[in-house]
Amino acid sequence: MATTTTETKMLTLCTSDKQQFQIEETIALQAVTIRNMVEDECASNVIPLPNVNSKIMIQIIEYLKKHVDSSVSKEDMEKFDSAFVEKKLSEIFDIILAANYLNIKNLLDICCQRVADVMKNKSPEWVRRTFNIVNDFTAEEEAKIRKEHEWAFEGVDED
Amino acid sequence: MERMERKPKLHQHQHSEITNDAGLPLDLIIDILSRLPAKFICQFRCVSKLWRAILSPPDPVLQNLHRNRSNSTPLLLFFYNSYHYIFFSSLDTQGQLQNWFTKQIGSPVQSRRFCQGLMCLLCSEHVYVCNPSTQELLQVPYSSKLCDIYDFALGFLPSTNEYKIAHWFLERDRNLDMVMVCQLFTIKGGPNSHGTWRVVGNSPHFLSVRRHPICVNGSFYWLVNGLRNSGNSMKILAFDLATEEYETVLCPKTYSGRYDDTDQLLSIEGSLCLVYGKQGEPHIDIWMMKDRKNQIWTKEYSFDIFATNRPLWILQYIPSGDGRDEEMLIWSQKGCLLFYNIKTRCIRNMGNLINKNIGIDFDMGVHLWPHLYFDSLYSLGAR
Repeated sequence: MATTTTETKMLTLCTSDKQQFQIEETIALQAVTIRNMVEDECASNVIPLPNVNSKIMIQIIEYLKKHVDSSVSKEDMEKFDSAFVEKKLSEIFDIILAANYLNIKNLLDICCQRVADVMKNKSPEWVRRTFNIVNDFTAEEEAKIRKEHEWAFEGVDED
Repeated sequence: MERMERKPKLHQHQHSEITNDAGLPLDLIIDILSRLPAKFICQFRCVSKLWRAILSPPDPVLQNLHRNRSNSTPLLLFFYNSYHYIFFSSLDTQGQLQNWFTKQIGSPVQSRRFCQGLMCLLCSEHVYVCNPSTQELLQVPYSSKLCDIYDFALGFLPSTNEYKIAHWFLERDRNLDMVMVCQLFTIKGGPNSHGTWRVVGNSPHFLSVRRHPICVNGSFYWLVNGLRNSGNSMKILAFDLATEEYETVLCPKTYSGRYDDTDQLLSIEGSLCLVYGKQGEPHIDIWMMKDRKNQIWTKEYSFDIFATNRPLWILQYIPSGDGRDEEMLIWSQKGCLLFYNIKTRCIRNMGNLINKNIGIDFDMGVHLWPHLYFDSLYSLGAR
């Protein structure tokens, strides 16, 4: 029986909720943080990723698996990316945090772009709700700032 | 694509806790905001005190990221002045209306210059600088010397993040010889924008007012003929905004230097370029000075444009991005605005779309000559 000449090296990633994921090393090494851990040999067979939960890890692996495949055309990759970010913003925020921690530049990029695209034409109230920001201005202060930039509020979507 | 500097520390803001459920650290919030047009940045200043601190005036990190990103989405700005009103209208390169607004000014506009997203308006009794992206209009102190305008220009000095208005005028020196003097006004950005006019060294050459200077990477450049002691061939004169000194730059060797009205200087991706073709022929060459220090030119583009569109001027180079090919924005003397796709060599004429979308009737004898600009967060500290 024929065997492959190079054995596929596997890595085990352990998420914050103690789930283990076995993935090919080439896929995992796209995350610079994991690559550094492997290169520095400070990781044993199991790489602990205490800042990422399994729900997010599944999505990140889906992304990394697609992006390691060099046979995918540029157009198809762009299609995959735009479909990938069609998620609820709360989920995108979690992926941003994980991509930032794992240092996956492209993933961070498309997710931040997604948030920005959704934010266009949204009101400050929508932004506060979405980012859960407390409005610490007094009514007078806010009215004053709004007046300074009155023009910018034209064409804002209704909440 | 630019690299993000990731610092674990928050920037100059002392807010160590970000109270949002999204739980995003400040550098990621800044990354997201840097992807928004200036209009939304202005609007989101009222979200919270922290956001106001980041956005007004814009955090330097945010401003840098935003500048790098907006450089891939050029906009066309159309400008119209009627007595004490100025009208701005901006379209994207597909002809879609993005923004329009009017402002009141003190006296009619005589002349205008554009540089790196900002516009300088020279009026009969006033001088203004406008950032069309944030709709800020700053009135610059009027200098009595401005009554005598030989030429003026707006420049940007990246190393200090300053804009400079340059004004050239003629004066008699002690020997009663005519000399060309230059005075500069510096705009530092933010609330400390206000400065004074300051006279700098005389120009070694009487500039040609037929060609206004262009600003590339912190220097003004003119195409001039017959510089003192250099015969009659065309030369390029440079004025460095950092050292405030003039310098002569050599043209490419193949450039015959025979004065042709449509020979021109152009800025492409931060490099000085010389555009020229032989009169009566459709061929145009664009030489780029890739090595400014050693003054080395390379032929970067070469293309044919139908002779029927000549004479023409290349208004701007539009970099590729968002699935677009690189294009040259061309103004043909026949009155059309053309986009020449460098890769496919196709020409698209946007004239009709512009007239439809621009919001005012430009057939009323108004000069339809747009400026290419990029959305800019640069704060003039004015309202």
